[in-house]
Amino acid sequence: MEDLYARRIWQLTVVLAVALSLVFGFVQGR
Amino acid sequence: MKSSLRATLWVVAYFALVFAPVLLLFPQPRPEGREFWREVSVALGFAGLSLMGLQFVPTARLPFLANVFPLDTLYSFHHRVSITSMLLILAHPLILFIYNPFTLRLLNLLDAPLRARAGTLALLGLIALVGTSVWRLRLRLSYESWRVAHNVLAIGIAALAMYHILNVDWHTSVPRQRIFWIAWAIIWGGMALFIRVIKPWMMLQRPWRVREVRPERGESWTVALEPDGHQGFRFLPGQVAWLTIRRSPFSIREHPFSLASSAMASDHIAFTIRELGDFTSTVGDIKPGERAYVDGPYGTFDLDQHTGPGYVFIAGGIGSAPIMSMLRTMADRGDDHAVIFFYGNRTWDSIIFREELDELQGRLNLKMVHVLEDPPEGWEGETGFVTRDMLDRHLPADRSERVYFICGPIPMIVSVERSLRALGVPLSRIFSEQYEMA
Repeated sequence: MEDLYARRIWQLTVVLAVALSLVFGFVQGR
Repeated sequence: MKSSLRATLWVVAYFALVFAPVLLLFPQPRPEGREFWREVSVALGFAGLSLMGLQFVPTARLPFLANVFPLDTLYSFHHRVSITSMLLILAHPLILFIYNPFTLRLLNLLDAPLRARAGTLALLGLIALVGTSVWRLRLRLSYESWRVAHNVLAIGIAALAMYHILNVDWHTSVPRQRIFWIAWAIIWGGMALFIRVIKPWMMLQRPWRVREVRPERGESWTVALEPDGHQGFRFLPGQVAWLTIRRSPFSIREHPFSLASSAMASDHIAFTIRELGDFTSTVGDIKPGERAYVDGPYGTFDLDQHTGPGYVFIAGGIGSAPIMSMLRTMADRGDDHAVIFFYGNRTWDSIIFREELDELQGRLNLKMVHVLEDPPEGWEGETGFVTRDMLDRHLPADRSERVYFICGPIPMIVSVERSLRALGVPLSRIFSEQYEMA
């Protein structure tokens, strides 16, 4: 059961890392 | 505080720490904007490095963390997230190289600026660190030499990466970003110091002595230890401890094993260890009286935190060690809860604890279901692996009320969990622990 939660947390980590990086690129980049 | 609340708070803290450097980039007074892909690559690098540094935390064996999350889950999370952090960090230079091939010259370890060389070396180190962990067996690295290399590489990579980002000095020129990274790196260093210096020193103050080493069936040995000049420790049946024998606790030579003895015995603890290579094959040579060090107990795979109206234990081979601790503890407590134990082994003769389990059936409300891969002639019991049909045949009507403990190799755990779910057992009543975790 715990491993299922761990997998979800890991997946959310990947999604957030990529999404936040792209958003920062849009906000800061030119 | 309830353990589920503590777990939730830890998860929130995890996300806050991993993404703090990226989130801090938004509101901070910004340096001049650079190209889109360049800024994306920096943010990916920041997230990757923060995630990598965070790996010092779950592996520091902090009691308040290791006793909230299952130890094997912490380690499998560490494995998965470390690979992710490597990929995020790798994306940082790759995007730069694709966007601006001129930056490829930064890979030159002889001519490039020191900050670039530090970044390149950190990345190469990280690839080596992940590669040696994923392919340790294929590379024929012993567990002991891998652990030494793992520790040295981790600290070296963290130092080089910090040198890189602080000296590139673009976003980290903003004070709050710089302060965050320095504080975060101090925490990483603190974790390394704790696990490699402070904890070994504490273990040195509390030595143990080998009381007995006895052979068991299935090429296994039971090593019993008694505290030497201190009170020992109390543990919950099913928990894990790290054992160091014949070495200093500073030597990075400890191994995690389940405690197999009764939690009610205060004068000794025992581990049962199967000969699987490296250290485990030398256990039979250990002599009574030898000095040992124990770090523990850890883990949440235990009977006392997950009580129920009855239990079902499912183990394969040496996965029976924590189950034996549970059964012995129940016997010492006079616990009469109903227990069914599905115990998978290769042959009848290789069943570890076979005679003691027979005897425990007389003392406990215990039903044994032996499952043999290679049964003897005339065997009328279960054969093969633990399947859904087999579980269905033996589980009682109150199956969805019982608490399930599974310990064994990962494929067995996955298969049994799936079968139990199909039989209507709620996931919240199933607890598992893998053999190989660290």
